[in-house]
Amino acid sequence: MKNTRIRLLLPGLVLFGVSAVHAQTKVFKEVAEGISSQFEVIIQDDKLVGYLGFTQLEQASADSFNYRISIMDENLNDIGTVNFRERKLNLAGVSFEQDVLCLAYLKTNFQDIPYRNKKQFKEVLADAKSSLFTQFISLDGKVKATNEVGLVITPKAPEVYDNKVITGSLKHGIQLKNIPNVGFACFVGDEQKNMLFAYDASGKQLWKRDITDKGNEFGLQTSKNDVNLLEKQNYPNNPECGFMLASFRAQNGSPYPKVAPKDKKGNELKIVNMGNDPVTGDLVLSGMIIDPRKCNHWGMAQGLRHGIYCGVFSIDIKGHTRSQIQTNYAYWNDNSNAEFSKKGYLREAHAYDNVHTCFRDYRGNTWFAATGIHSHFRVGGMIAGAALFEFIFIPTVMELGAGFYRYKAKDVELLKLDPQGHLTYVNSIPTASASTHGLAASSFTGYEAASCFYYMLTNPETKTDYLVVTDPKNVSIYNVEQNKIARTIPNKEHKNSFKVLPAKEGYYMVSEYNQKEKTTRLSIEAL
Amino acid sequence: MPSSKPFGLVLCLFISASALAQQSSLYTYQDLSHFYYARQKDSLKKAWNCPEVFKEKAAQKKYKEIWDGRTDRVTGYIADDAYVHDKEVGDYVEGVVNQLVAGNRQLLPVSPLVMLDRDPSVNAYAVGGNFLAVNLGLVAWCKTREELAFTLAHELSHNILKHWETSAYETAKWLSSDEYKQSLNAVLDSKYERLTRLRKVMETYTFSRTRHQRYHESDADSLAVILMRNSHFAFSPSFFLRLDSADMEYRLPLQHPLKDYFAVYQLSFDDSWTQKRSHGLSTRAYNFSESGNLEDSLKTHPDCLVRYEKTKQWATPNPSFTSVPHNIHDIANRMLIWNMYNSTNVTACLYRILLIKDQGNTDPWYDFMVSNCFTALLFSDHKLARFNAIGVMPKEYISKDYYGLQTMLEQMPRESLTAWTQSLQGQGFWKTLPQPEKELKPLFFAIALDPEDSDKNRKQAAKAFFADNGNSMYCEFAHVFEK
Repeated sequence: MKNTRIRLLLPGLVLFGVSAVHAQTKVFKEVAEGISSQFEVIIQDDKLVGYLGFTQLEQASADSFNYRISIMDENLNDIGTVNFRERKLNLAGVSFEQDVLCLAYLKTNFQDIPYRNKKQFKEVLADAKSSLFTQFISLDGKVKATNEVGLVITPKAPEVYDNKVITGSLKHGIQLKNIPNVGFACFVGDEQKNMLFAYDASGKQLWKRDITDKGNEFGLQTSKNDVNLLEKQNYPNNPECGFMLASFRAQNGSPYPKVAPKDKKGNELKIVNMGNDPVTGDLVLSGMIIDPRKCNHWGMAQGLRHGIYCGVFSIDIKGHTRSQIQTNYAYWNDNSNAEFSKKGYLREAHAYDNVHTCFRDYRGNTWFAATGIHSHFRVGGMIAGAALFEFIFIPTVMELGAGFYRYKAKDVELLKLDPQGHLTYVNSIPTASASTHGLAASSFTGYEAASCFYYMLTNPETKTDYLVVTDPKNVSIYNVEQNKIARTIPNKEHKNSFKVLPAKEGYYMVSEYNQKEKTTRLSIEAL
Repeated sequence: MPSSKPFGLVLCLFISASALAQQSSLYTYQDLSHFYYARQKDSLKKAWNCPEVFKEKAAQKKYKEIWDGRTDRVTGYIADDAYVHDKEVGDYVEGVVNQLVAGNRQLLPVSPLVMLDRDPSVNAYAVGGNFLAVNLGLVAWCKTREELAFTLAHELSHNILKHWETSAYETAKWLSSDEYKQSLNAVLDSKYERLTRLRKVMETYTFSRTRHQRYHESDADSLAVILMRNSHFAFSPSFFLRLDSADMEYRLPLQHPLKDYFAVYQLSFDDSWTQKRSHGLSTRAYNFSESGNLEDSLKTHPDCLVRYEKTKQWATPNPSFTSVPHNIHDIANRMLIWNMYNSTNVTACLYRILLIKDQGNTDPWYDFMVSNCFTALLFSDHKLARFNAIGVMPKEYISKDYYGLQTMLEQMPRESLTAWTQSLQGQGFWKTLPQPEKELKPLFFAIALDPEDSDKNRKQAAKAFFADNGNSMYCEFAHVFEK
């Protein structure tokens, strides 16, 4: 089946060739070099509602640029453009609420400015200005309002080869979310402080909070009536602990008591996911319960083998009184679950679970998707270790280097925590495997990021969740409710130029790059 | 005496079924332009020699680039099968052209080379060099022979008035001028607003060209009326009013609810498929009016209303018009539908079929095409290209019914799509189809329903079709799978 040519709209004379560009290539090349584009998704209530192209067209004056925003609907059809002039902008987030688009940018007067010597750099440094710039655009293409909040960022002068350009970055990047029926929430952290803002849909600032906690990482999530900020502090002895939830009333920003998640036994909780319940809209935290006695084991694979986690949990924040916080814990370290060993070894799958994704389904179950970590005793390593046991130092070095265990990351294991607190192993989704041992086994992150990754998609119409699992061989779309793979797409057939990405509700986007033609085919397909 | 009515009815049905079975399969595979016009392609290359019109080398070089660009495009279209030869439609169009030539021997001493473009848009185009292309979309759209004659006369006027040659000359002159070079250098010299400056350089030229082109269009309208009069064609300026809505094909409503069109095939229809479930921006009341309209400076043609007012004075008094024969419309429509299908433009193809069914057309060939549309959709779904096969269009460009149809094709579950395809491939109308259509069935099965889903099986089915139907126009489709 071949493609048709471009349609001609009206009868008449077509001047073949006349309209072709014949200008000097140099001019077009140089002008094109000044143009840069960014493609973003437009999100509302954690759902994709459209796409946005942000293009820096040209430098308009010594300190400003001409920009174009191209807005597309969820089917990638253009619905309009907005042109404007501003200082140097870096688009950091796009959200949508009450038919208003909110865009959050980092605005500076020094980013990407070339410099030749220290003197020039110092001049820029003396006059450096940065701000959080928010823009509110209605669906008739009008910029309804803008807001600007000053930020403190010290320009940096990294020297990369001959390309001397000034840079500067925020301590905590800009995060933007819509607040249902209210407007937008935006978080940012500069060199001096962290700030949380709320705006209504007309662009008016509703409130501002300085976040004084010394968190190392922050995550923003809005729920029915709240703006929630999950903070994570780094504890050197226990890098997986240190979470705290700060919530604010969406309308006026008044704070609720902070929640430092711990189970009833006082064990710290590792929050893997912060999201909303698809039915109630309440905030849900889910993840792993940390065993305080084992949590200082180095390395992910080794830690799992030693039982770094003692179970899983979910917490529903239905309100801000104690009784409105509903917790659900399931343990394996008390031998109460026959499917698991005391250290969390999943007997049927012969694996430990490195949980990466948690989500709540439409039936109130919390799902945990994990990479299966299989450990095998290395007989050779043990014999060598035993032979050299007198030299205490040598076996230790051996364990760190080659290790007594070989680990294999393989398959995605699915666990279900039902509302009554029963944890069950549901299924394994086959994936390609990767082996490692010794120090390299401290983390399978490289393997998981590059070769095997998975995420959840949902079809709200059929109230069905899917897990999209990508490995070097296949992309599998797993129907969580029906407990089977709904579709397998061979990755090999597409020569690794193939990606399955989230799209509008109930759909996924297929992106396929054609290396020969240097084009990307996009298609939005039903789950 | 027993009544002869039932026997008569059976006889009638038998005759009509035989007639349908004998219906020609439109053009042949060898009528596609890369076969049929191979000789003309070579002739064009030889005939379209760039004349020496400039003394300055740079200007002449530009002029030659433009000139050769035209040759490359037209010959490229021929090679890509953009054109097709169809005896009946071709003869009909040439008949109109010949009447115009015969009545205007002084202006048109040599008959032009006329080709049928397979494009569905309502369009025709002249590119100088005594070449004229007529889109099938135009043939299907024209109600009368006179409407077609006026469009062709208008295009021939462009050739007579040497509009293409003049524009090519002016363009070459401008692109090689010092003024143009200086304005481009000024862009490079400027530190700021380079794109805006470059755009202005191009727009100044484009505006000048399109403005001239609009003068040209008015000139071509005026001369077309004279050509019509000399050839004894009646002229009605109301043609322009109809032309104004020529691209409204997919804004036309259907006469029946969508499900009724599928109920005749006993296909179970779920109303929820046509209800948009998305909360995306397509469902919101957006109105980016500034970016939606074409800037006046970029319009190549005067507005149809202006053209109507200008030519009103030349209307033929008491005109009589000849309708385009039904068979010409039918062939043009079927060619269009097949070509749209062949380009995997499923929604537009299916909608056109439903519009034709609204005219009371019961030709089983359209049932065959309904079946093919769902086969194509299922195949596209297997290949993760359903979205592209549907060609989702924004709601403001299409009718409510078209929107419903595309939503249905988008949201119909894969299981239902498979069931529909299976059911349609088993329907009775297949028995009444001519042989080539019938013999495509195994290929359609291999494409979408074969449990093995194997390229090898598809290739075999395509080869088998080729072996028995080497002249069929469907070979173009089979060829893709044979490869």
